[in-house]
Amino acid sequence: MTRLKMSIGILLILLCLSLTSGKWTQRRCTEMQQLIIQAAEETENGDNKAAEKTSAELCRQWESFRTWASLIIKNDMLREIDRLCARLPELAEHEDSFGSDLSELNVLVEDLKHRS
Amino acid sequence: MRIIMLRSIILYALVIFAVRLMGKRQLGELQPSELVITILVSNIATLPVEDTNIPLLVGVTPILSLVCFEVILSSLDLKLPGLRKLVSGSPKIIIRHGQVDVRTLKELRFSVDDLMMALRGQDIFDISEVEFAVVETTGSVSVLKKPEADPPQVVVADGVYSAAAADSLGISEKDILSAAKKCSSSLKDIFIMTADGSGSFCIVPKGSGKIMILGGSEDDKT
Repeated sequence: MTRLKMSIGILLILLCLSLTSGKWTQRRCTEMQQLIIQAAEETENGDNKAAEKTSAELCRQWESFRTWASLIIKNDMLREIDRLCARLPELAEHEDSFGSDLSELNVLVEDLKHRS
Repeated sequence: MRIIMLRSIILYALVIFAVRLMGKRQLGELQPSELVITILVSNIATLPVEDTNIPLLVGVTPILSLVCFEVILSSLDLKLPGLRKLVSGSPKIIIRHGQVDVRTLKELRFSVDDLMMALRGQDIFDISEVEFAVVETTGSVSVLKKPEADPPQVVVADGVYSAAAADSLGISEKDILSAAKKCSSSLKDIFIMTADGSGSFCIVPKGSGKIMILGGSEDDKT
């Protein structure tokens, strides 16, 4: 009976953990996607300064998300986003391939969202 | 390297915990569902040890989930016989009243060699000794031997009839006399006569010392 209770307890904990982590990941990804869209719009409007600021904010958000995400998401997926996020503020200044990088980041974040 | 070492220790502890959680049943013969869980757990546990790309929590979750499912399923098995039959199957009788059930053997894909090997595992080398044999849900074979016949008893010793011995075997004096008649004229001419519960007699007449066997399913022989 103790084993049964322990098993039910563990299963409930795992269930709660998976639901919470799933919701949390989706929420954080949605927030990042909003920033990506905002940065893309700012670049289209020629407001590079604002785009740079948004990119920096995007990177900050990603850094805080990544610390915890590494506990529940495979590292190879995170590394790809790491690579793109590190380049964004620099690209925002010069506009070189900023738009394509943003859309690539959007696809990766969307993928992350669906896998969670 | 240190990370892999640490992961190995954590997963080792986790697998030990998982086996303990599954209980003593897991350490004996495995039911089909337990076998599946054991194979799955042993495979899943190696992945996060080898691949540091996989977070430890992701590796731990399926192991714990599978083990917990197994514990819950085995608890439900106790309460729901239908589920038990569905998950574990039911024992099959392969020898019934000394008769081999060939159809069941074929159904279980049990060859004659498998059957004989299982019987030898139970210290039985002669299939005629078996009254019942059952293939359990774990795949092991349980055997019930035929009851051994009563040991022969001396019913006539040096021409003297022992009523107590005959009674204990359920043989009447008339049977003994008729057996005696077949080889000697009277009981007094018999040196030793033994009988068993199946109605066979072993007679040694006075003088000749020749052993004669009568009755039972065999023809009389000397």
